[in-house]
Amino acid sequence: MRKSTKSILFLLPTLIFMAAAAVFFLGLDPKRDPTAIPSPLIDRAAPAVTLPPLPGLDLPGIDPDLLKGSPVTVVNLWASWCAPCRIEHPQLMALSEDPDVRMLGIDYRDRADKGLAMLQELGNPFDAVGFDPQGRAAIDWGITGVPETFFLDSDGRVRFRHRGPIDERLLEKIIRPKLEEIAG
Amino acid sequence: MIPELGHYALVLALLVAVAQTAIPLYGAAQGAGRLMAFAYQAAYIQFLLLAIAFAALIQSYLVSDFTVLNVVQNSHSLKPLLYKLSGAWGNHEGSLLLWVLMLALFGAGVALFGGNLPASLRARVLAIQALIAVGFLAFMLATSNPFIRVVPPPLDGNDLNPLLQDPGLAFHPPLLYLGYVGFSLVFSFAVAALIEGRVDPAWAGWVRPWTLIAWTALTAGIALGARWAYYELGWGGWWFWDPVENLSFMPWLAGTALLHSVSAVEKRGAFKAWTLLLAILAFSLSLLGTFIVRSGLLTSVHAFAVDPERGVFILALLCIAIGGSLALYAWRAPRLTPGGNFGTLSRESGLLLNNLLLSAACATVLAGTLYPLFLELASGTLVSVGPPFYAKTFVPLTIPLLILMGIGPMLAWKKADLSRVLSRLALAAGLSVAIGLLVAWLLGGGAIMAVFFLGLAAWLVLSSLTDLAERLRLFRVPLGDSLARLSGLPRRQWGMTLAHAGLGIAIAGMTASSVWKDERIETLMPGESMEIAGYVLTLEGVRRMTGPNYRAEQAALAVTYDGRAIDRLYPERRFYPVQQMPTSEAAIRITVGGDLYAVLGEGDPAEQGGFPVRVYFEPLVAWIWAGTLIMSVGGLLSIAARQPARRTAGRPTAPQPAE
Repeated sequence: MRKSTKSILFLLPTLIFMAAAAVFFLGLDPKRDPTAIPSPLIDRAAPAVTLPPLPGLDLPGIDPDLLKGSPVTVVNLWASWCAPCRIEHPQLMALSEDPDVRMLGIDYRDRADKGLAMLQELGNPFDAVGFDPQGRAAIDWGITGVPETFFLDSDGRVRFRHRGPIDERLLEKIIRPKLEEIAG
Repeated sequence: MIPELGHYALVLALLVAVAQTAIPLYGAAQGAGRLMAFAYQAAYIQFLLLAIAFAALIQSYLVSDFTVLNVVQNSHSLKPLLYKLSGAWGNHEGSLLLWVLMLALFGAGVALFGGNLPASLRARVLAIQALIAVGFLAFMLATSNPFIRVVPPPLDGNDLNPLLQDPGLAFHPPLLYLGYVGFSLVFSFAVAALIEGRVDPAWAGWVRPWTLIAWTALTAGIALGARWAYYELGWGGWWFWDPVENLSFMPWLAGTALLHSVSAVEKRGAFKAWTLLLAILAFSLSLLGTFIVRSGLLTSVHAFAVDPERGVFILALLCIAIGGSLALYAWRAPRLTPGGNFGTLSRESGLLLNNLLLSAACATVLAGTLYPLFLELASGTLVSVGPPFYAKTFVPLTIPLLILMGIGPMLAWKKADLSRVLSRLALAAGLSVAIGLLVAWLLGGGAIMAVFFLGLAAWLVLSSLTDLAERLRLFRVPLGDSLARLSGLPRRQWGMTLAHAGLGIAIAGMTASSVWKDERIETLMPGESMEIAGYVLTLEGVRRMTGPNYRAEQAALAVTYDGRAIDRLYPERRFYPVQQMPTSEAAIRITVGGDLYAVLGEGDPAEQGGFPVRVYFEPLVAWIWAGTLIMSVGGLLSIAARQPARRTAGRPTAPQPAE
């Protein structure tokens, strides 16, 4: 083997590592969400499903008409047994103060009394809450677990989806900019 | 007071580590013996300081000191004692402290046992080891201090993730870290050898036992992790090709390759540059694992809290450690004197092939793990790489490797007589094929690949036994002579035979439990029954109970086989109120033929007309744990082996004669 070929060969591991390190650096972008798996619903109409109201709560259930009309409609799937839902609750409360946002909740595979108790304990961010004890939403919305949140535009099309809890950092860095983009 | 003491010890340890890097490196360059000798005094002090820091953290957990943020976030006063302790390293900050403690432990080990190392090599190894500690200690103190106080202190803690409250998992991280950090020492040896510009059989003789310690710990650690996933996650699987699992598996593959190439350096002076590269890679892959788990670069069920800011810091460390050592390698390795020649057919060529296959296997796992990230950044497309990818890439690569594993140990160094070796292995090969055919016949055909892999598993065990019988000259000399040879057999030989045969047993278990796994899900009212693999399970009832920090519902399932009552299983579903998290505790009946695995599912019996019960039958799964245990024992035996007599420092060594 010629000497120059040999020295390139020995340099190869370093070059490969440098390329990988560059990719890692790009991957550390705080705006990147590694949990994102694209939802098939993106840029499609939200599923037109009717759900009865959460018993005991004086609010309507989910109705296809509610999915349209507001500049942004947020559909949040939650349950009282889900610990991350409690973590994200304050962020939902903060979102509900935005007049451009209509907040819809779906209480997923839950008991009515427990779901109601959670809203009474932590506050109610929702304008309407559908009650889904059988977990139909799993099929209609294609969710894998709660919490999961969908962001709809005024035509009722799904524009963005977030899996897992929305913490404070995500709310400011990802969710708020998305809301502005959707509201146009 | 105690936490401040720990914090103070950490700061001191950082200062000592800086001195331990700079002074011995300068001393070695100048040939100043007193400056070089500073390295091992510093190594002891370093270990002592980190032991104090670790003890301070353990103490804070033991007394549930909720003025310490780390304890608040990961402990609870009601938690059982074992989990209070394991909580100390079940989180990002505490596990880092354990990491650097082990780093210092290995350094102190070299200072203690390295008396026969050349003075400059020992000084440089300890200096590099300390340099790694400088990086990690600076990282800890800057971004991840475990001793931060919280004011005002809360009344109680947040508890540890219930999935992590498990005896297996209490020991899984320490073993993994022992493996990862063990490779740090091998890395330090490689970098020191590059600085010295010399790799000789004596160097390999010192590196080999440390590689073995790391390999054994990693083998046991990975097996323990797989076993935890098996019984704790309630899905009945034991390996999911999850990024974090892969990240622990890659150093193992590189380390296995290293273990084999290092013995070629030791015996024949061959593969020097390649062995140095593997030593750097084994530790680089360990660091990569640490980086990815803690930076949120990839998602996994095992990952720590996501924090990109920390990620940038670790990436910088990674660039210095990996980039620096690889650059040093590119500069110095081409100047190493080439090793001894060997024939196309020899133990050396067998080891070369082994190394190529293991490296290729490691590369496929690396590609599968990082591909989603690269693709996402290149095109924005999100994909996940799952078991089908590895079934098409990794699994086929293991076939020639497993076949070769039976032949390689019987090849002679320098030049081997293949036809003679093959004729001795004919019986083992014939029996393996017969076992494969017998399995196929018993099952009436079906999964050809699975039958093939069972044949390979048998081949590994039988060829290892053949090798052993050859060395004892069994049936060729009187039995008494063979027994005399048995007691004289070196521990290294036992180690290799056990490691190879253990892998065969584990592979039989992996194959059978993934291919012939059976699963039933039914909703049962008390008194109703379900059937799986010939077993009938009857739900006798479900009762509520209370544990120390959880509530639970426990089902009693009576198990009958052929109408005979043989066992009773008690799967539980638990709820941990502090973490607001439900978990399921599987009940497992373990037998040699297969595990019966029962899980009580989520759901309200009143609404669903019964309790959802999931039952799995996992054939031969216990063989995986037995096989990996045997491999670890093999590793331990090899570590305990008498090391060949080492030559004094500085003198060039002649290659040892072939065995």
